[in-house]
Amino acid sequence: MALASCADTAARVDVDSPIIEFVEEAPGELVAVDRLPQTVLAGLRLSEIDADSWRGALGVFSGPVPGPDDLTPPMLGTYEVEADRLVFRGRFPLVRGLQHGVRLDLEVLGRLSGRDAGSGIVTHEFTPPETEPGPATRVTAVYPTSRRVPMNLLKLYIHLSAPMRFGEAYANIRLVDENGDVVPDAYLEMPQELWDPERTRLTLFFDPGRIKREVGPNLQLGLPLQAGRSFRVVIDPGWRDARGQPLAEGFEKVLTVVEPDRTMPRAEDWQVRRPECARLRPYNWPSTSRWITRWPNACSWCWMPTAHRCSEPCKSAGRSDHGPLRPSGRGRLGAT
Amino acid sequence: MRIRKGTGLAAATALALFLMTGARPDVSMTSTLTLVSPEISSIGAIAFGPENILFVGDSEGAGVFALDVADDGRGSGDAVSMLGVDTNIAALLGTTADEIVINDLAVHPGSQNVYLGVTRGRGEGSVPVLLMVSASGDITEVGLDGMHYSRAEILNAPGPDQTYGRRGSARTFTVTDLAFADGEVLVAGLSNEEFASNFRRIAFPFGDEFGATSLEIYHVSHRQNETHAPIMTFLPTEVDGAPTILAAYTCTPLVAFDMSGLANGGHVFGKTIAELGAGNRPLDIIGYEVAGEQQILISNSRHPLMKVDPGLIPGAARLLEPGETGVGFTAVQESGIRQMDNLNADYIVLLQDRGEGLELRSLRKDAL
Repeated sequence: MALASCADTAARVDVDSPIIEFVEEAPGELVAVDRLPQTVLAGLRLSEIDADSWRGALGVFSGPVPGPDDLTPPMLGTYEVEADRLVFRGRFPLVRGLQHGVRLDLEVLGRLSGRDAGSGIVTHEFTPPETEPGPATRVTAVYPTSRRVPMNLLKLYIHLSAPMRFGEAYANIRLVDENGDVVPDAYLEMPQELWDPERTRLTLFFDPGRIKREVGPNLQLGLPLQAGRSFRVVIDPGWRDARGQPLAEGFEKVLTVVEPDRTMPRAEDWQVRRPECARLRPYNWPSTSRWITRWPNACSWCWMPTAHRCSEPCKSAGRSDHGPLRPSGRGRLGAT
Repeated sequence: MRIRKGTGLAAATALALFLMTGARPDVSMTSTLTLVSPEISSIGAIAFGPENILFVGDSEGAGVFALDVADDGRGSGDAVSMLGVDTNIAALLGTTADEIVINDLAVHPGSQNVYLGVTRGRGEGSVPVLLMVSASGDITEVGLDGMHYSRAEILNAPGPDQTYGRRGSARTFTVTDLAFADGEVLVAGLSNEEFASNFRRIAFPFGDEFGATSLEIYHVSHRQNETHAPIMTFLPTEVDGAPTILAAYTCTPLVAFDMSGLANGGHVFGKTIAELGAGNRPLDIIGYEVAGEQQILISNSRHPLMKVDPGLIPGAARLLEPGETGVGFTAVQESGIRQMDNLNADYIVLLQDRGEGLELRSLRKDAL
């Protein structure tokens, strides 16, 4: 029994012609051809028909029905004669919100069945309804959060509220200078993109070859960020999430660029204050968290040789529980 | 120098198999594919091997599959050409062209059909699909139901949640490229080790023999040693008679690794012999022969197709100073080439983007 049918737009269907419809019914979606003569259905049941022949008789397209000279192939799927109808089920789920076309060639169907199915082409177009979109995905943070960054900043972390699609990041993120001009070749583009496993955090590297001094790209192109100038990281609202929905809105992060930070962090510049284990709280500092996560089961204040060792196991200290690390004066935030 | 990858090398491969592994040529490799209906999590790099067995790198599933594609066709020797191959694939798979990712291309040595490792979808519900394009332009899905196969586990693959340097999921780099040579499936990619760049040698037919070596290179234009960046594409070859891996890295050092050093548990420092240009990713590398001469082609993300004379490699110096470019290349004025393979004796087939969608093109080897 049909649970729902889309808002179909039947075309060129006579009163006695077969009816084509998109149907959502348990356990899935299908395209059904009704009102075919029982003799034709019986003939189809008795015939051995290969996939190409089926698709020649009943083609379902992920787009409008192609013209007679258009060789666009119909989509893959399986065909089955059920009680009083011919049914097509797609090899893959139909794309919601995309117009689909169906072409039924009655002469070909007649040949396949060995019966007279009539003549002519019956076409039909339908659009599977969109699923409930849910809340739109947003950019929730870009690290470092500071507006002031050194010109040798190596990378940004872009956090999003939901998983994103693969393969669209670099086309939707631009570095723009104060004149509105896009800075070319600013980022290192990796084919796999650098996502966390949940695909909610993208690591965006400025081209390391442009950052490192006196190497080829640095000499040829210079650093993408220049001290004393202002840049914007512009994230387009058209960037789509894993459901195919665009972001709720675009996002911009202003970067006020200062002189390069080339001071190596030194352990002796840092004071370590050990909190009570009961007061552990999430520590959120990507610039240093790579040190911390090397020892996911350790208390974060144990990482330095000169630091106090935990006097007792931190039973509540999980991977995200870290104590405060604060520079004592000479330590500075900057590129790692 | 002898190049050992691509069409027309079946006889050499069979001989090498016999010499290197003791495998009897009359023992069918295909008969070792005893499992049925592979479940592949992702289809990345693909390459044909002995008896036209197709090897598939599965980064997500941390494995390499050997598939009996049961393609008994005979190639015509003709060129292959198809405009809008991504659009046609999208139509076949019931989606739009922007939802299609073609990860790799390999030509069946017998039938000369072009096999494509494809991902349908870029978000939720994305699935791997293996397709075949015939010389007549038909695209068909290579069904996995009922297909015979065997599988090797990538024993040192990054964990599903492992990142490297917080850069992203290391798992997707488990297999960046693979090839078959001398009785082994060779697999480049990232491992679960601190020095993540790794090269595996997996004896075929698959058994318990699995060797892994961590890799280090000197990236001249970056002025630093690198152990994390994976090989992006490689070519098994010979230099001065010694089996050698010619590997290309992002941004774009070309590095030679002597196979004799790629032993299980070892750590090997490669010899950087060329810098092919900054801000660039090498996408594919193949060897081919024309008029009795071996040649190497490298396709790139930002640079045109490069032709490298393999005769220059044996005497190439190790690059140590920025500005040194090492072994030179000839630019072939074709760009946007994503993947390529030997089609037959006369042609190379390319997956190319010339600004109007992806197309399959064939280029005559003697015109390159």
